[in-house]
Amino acid sequence: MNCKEIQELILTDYLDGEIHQGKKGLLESHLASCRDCKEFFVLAQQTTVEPFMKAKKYDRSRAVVWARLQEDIQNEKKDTPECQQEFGLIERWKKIIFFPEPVFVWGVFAVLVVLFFLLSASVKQPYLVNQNQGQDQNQIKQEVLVASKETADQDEYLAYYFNEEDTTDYGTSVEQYFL
Amino acid sequence: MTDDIVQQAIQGDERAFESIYREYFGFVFNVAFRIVSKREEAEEICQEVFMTVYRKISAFRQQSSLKTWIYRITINCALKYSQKKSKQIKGVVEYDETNPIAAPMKDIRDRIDEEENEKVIHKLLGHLYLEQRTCIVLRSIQGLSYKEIADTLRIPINTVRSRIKRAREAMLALRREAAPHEL
Repeated sequence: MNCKEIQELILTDYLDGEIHQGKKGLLESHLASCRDCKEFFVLAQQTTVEPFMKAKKYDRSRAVVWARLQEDIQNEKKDTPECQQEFGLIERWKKIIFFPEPVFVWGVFAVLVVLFFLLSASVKQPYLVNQNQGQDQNQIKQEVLVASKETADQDEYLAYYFNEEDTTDYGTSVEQYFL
Repeated sequence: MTDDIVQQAIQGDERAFESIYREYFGFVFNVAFRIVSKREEAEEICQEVFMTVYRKISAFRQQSSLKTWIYRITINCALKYSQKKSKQIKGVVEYDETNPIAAPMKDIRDRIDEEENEKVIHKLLGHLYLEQRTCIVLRSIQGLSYKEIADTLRIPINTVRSRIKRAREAMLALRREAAPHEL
């Protein structure tokens, strides 16, 4: 092992007593012959291990925290379902009537989605569209008949305007007019 | 801590819970204190840890030891608290003036040395990243093995090793920057 590997081992397994026996022998024989690594080991031990070995252990808050815990535990017991049952019917009705917030929100959302689809379907239903188109076409036919009586020059335009299927209905009266 | 006491605590026995509290308070409090550096905050963390133990012990399946389980809760609570507060402990030193274990029997020289050492510890820990600090506290102050630290933090043992190595490198760098008497 070279000095770099030795110093890496010193910083971890050797200082923490986790090094395997075989490596420990190698490392210690290296330390005996290498001054730099020996100095590194002493510095590392003094700086990164010894202060923590002498660290104070605090115990003063034991009673304070225990008193607070007792209080918390008592409060929690009051909130348990067994304790809540003591409130009886009122609490039970509250549970039945009031849904948790997420349920309420999702319910409203679902209703809005259903309403949206119903409205959009009623506007776009195909048979309703055809009916409206038929009514519009009849109205146009009447207007055309009146107009054709007034101005014969518009006839060609009207024949172009309406397709072949449509002309079967109103064409007769127009032709009759000219005949 | 016997298995009987753990079983009784699992079944809701409050005396057994108190025994667990007495057994583990020292560890929980000292780890929390070294991570957040303030006594009041460490007390809050302690309270949270033991309330979690109280609430969850009925679901404790003993797949890990109670010790590891409580250690894990402690670290989680302390780290969460520390991240929430986003506080740096650099330069913030707080002393427990009336440590009942230490003070009365010791002479003044010892107390001064002890306080100086506490300053050094705070400075060193304050120089480390949170995860490095956690590993150093568990290893160098609480004396956990690498395996125990790995189990507690649920990380590979080599990650523990590399965090400790980097932490010590950082502490050595701090020492080289500062004059020896300042540390």
